[in-house]
Amino acid sequence: MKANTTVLAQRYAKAYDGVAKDNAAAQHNYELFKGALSALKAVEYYINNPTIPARVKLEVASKAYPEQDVAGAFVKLLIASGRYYLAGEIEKELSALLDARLGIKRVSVISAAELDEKAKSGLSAALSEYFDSALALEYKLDANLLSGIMIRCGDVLIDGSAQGRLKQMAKILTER
Amino acid sequence: MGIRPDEITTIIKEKIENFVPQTQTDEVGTVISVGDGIARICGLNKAVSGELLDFQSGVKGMVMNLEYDNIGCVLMGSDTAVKEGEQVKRTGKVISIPVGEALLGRVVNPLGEPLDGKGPIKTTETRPMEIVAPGVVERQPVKQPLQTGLKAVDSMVPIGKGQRELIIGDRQTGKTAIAIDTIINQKQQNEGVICIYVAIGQKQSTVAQVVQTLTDFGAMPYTIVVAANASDPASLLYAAPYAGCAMGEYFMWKGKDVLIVYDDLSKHAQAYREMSLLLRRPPGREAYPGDVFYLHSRLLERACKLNDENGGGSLTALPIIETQANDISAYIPTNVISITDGQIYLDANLFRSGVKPAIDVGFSVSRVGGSAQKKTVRKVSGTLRIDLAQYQELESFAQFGSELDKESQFQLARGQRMKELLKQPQYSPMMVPEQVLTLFAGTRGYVDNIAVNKVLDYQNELLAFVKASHPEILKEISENGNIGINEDLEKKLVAVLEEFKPLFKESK
Repeated sequence: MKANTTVLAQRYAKAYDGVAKDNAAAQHNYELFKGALSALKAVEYYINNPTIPARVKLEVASKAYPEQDVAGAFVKLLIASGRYYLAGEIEKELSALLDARLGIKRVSVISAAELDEKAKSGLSAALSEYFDSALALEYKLDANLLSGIMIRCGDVLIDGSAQGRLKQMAKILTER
Repeated sequence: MGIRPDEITTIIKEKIENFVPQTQTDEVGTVISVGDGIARICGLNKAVSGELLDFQSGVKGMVMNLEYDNIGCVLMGSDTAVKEGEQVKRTGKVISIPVGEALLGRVVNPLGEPLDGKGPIKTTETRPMEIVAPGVVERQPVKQPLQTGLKAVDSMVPIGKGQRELIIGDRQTGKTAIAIDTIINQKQQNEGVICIYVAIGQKQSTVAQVVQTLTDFGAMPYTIVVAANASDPASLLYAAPYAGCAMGEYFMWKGKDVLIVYDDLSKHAQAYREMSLLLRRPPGREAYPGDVFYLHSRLLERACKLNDENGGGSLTALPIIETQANDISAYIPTNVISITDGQIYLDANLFRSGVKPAIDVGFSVSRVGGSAQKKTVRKVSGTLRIDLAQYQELESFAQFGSELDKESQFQLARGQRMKELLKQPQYSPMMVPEQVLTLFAGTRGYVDNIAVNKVLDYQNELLAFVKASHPEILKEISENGNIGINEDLEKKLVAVLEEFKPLFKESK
């Protein structure tokens, strides 16, 4: 079940993140972990195969990622305990922990049409003020919105799209 | 009724003209799994327990479990419409249901939506489904009687306004009949008692039958029926009694007296068990979750008699529990017995032997109703409960055929007749003066020389005689309700009974 894997991934991510003494070290460790995952991508199938003994998996992993750093030790721990399948989830959780350390909020801006640079910079300033935090903005396109924009930051959804307004109107027209 | 297109067009135009587009800010989460009426949601970190959630597919849900990384939510509708990955919005409010006078005479579901096809319910007021019960300072002791119209109940297990009296017994022992009779009786009592009948997990045909009965006896104008039927999701069955209670509280806080029947709380506990197990809460005794006691105690605590500063309204609760094979020591029955202020225990054997209502006086008790009982009734019923309990014991002893002394024979004969006198057909509630007169005749030995099978004939003829010849006696009994039977009234009653004695014999 997804909920259970997330809980496990969160615990591993918290432990790995806790190794770093400061924000710079945490960022460095995160990059190392991403690098290790990328290096092991080619042998992922073997590592997650339950019929292959852990000893063999560790040998394969050592060859694919020979570095003796914190990320190398961490992935070997995951392989030895049979939890390498959580690696993707752990990477996401580590990213969220790093954002929290650096005080960055990730915001998705979805619009019906491409926004120009002026609109983007204006939006960035307004959203930084609204969320009172440094932001990492990500722009996406969705023609279904018809016009306007939709902003998603964590659980908060700000819907200023034509699609959203039409939904509001439909709700008012159909309510008894 | 014809459809007028121009009128509909005008309404649509008006709604569009008045529509003010707004940028909406919501807190949203994502459905990660759904099934068996339960959805798990990722996100919504600020959601609170009991909060109403709005699913993209239009289904509503209630937050039940707040876990480390997800929310367990019960769906208040079909789970087939909800899909994995769907967006869920917080509403920021706990479940509220419509309340008000407009609900009277209606059949609604636990969300206050009409089920009777009589159109929308025109009310603007709402109340939260779950609230904390009134505190000690807002209450006053139970002191006014709530007449059920049943001789056996009003004399031996009297119910007061604001009391919680459990009706317990096996299936088909007349539990619902007692509740329905009490609702019907409120019409002739004319005290303005509002009645709410909450049907939990019953067949739709049964609910339809109850509604028809209430309509036939003219009880619907002051009654609300809240129905969560057997085919509804467990979440609606769970919500039904709380919704009914909220509807009742609206009237109670307006200073009115309310009677609420929960039919039945066994199915309510089962619905909660189903939800809890699906939410992966640890099972306890009989697989019920650990907080099943709190489930019922917080509901029944909401029944109360408010003090005069708060309007003096009351909410009397008649919860019903169905036992299996007369086992009142099962988990849910013992829980509810300990929460309520007494119980009316209906015995299947008594029911089968023709004693209706089949009240077992040995197991039935009313802990607070005695102080609310009318003095006239208390005077005539006196030791009736103990006498009947002793009779039942003696009856089982006499079955062995041993010879009895005169005193025991007398006790047996009197008990048989009193048992017969307390029988009452369904849908025939009796006014207090009539009950007093009947019980007075019984306890003073006027039926001792009448054949057991003629006792009810005696009662009917006596009442007809008094209504025709001495209606002032009934009026005096009614007026003396809070004084009791004084010497003067007693003499009059004896005189009437003496006058009737030869008349009944003549009619044989």
